[in-house]
Amino acid sequence: MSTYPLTLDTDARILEEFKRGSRERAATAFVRRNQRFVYSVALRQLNSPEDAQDASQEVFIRALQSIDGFKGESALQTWLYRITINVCSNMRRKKKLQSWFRIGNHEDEREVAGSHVSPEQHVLNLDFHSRLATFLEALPEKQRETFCLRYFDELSYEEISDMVGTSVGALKANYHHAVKKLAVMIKDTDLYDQWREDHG
Amino acid sequence: MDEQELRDDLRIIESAFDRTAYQASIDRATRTLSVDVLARMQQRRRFPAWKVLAAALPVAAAVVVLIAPWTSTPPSVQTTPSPSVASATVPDAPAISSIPSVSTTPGASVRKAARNTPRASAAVTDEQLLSEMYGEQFVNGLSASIQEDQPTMFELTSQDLRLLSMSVNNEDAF
Repeated sequence: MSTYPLTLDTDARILEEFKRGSRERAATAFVRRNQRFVYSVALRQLNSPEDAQDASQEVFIRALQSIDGFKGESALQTWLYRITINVCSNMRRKKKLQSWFRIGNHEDEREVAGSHVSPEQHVLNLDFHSRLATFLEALPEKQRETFCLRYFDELSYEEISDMVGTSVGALKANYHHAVKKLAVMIKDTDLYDQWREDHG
Repeated sequence: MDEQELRDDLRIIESAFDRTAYQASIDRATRTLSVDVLARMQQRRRFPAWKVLAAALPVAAAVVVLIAPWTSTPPSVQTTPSPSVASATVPDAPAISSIPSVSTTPGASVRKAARNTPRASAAVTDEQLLSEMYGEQFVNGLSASIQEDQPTMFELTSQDLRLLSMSVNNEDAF
């Protein structure tokens, strides 16, 4: 008689639960275990909480529909990362097409261009995610993604290497460059002065 | 870049972007994600793409039917003149010679031949049938009375009517 897993806290146990037939329980555990990661990647890719929500739902639906075909050649997280990148690039393409048809609707751009505040002050006025996005956009794509996967998602270089298909050495170099550039950018804003005052 | 330099830079980044705050905000945003995903999956199972398509087809067809008269080009004017009444061809009635010969033997073969005979030759056939059934003398008398506009044997006199009513009331009267 096989033992019944009480907690689905590993990929292997979740997959076993799918095979056992308790699909709803396994699906819930699967989503909860990976939702932070998927949403985080989607948010960085799309720069919009609403779009990131839609994309995350789509990612999990696609993954759950084809989870029976998952062969375990890579980690579940790596597999999910690839689906997320695909879904996000599809959404970006769709949005680009939609915005192309909405010619002249650039209110946000006009707002920033028309304001008399400095770019640094503008950064301070934005909320956390927008501020983060503004800094990250200044980085090359590979450095940005490596930094986020390492810093925010707390993945090892080996895990990131599996996901993006880059060597560990190249990833380390990307990460170090990203950290250096970000530190310089932050030092140039009032944010850093404020932090120094707060911390003596 | 040495490790110390990296650690210093990371402290600066952490001052601006608190990892814990970031993760807390992500957790808030994904609080209902698992419920939403399961609900959407159930909805897709209940209304799969083919069902949605099947439901939309009649609407699409109706739209096409409504729009088609406005979008279709008018039919081109026919340059070929319509056939005039004079030139209209009327199928010729079969010639008398083509009428199948009627057997003189009374009975089914006669009726069958009559059934198969085209309508244009009905008068001839009726005459032949009548002469078969009642004799040639009867037919000659009938046609003579029609030509002379004289009362025929089918015009009943009061005496005929009396006899007929008697026969209806009492078949033995004959």
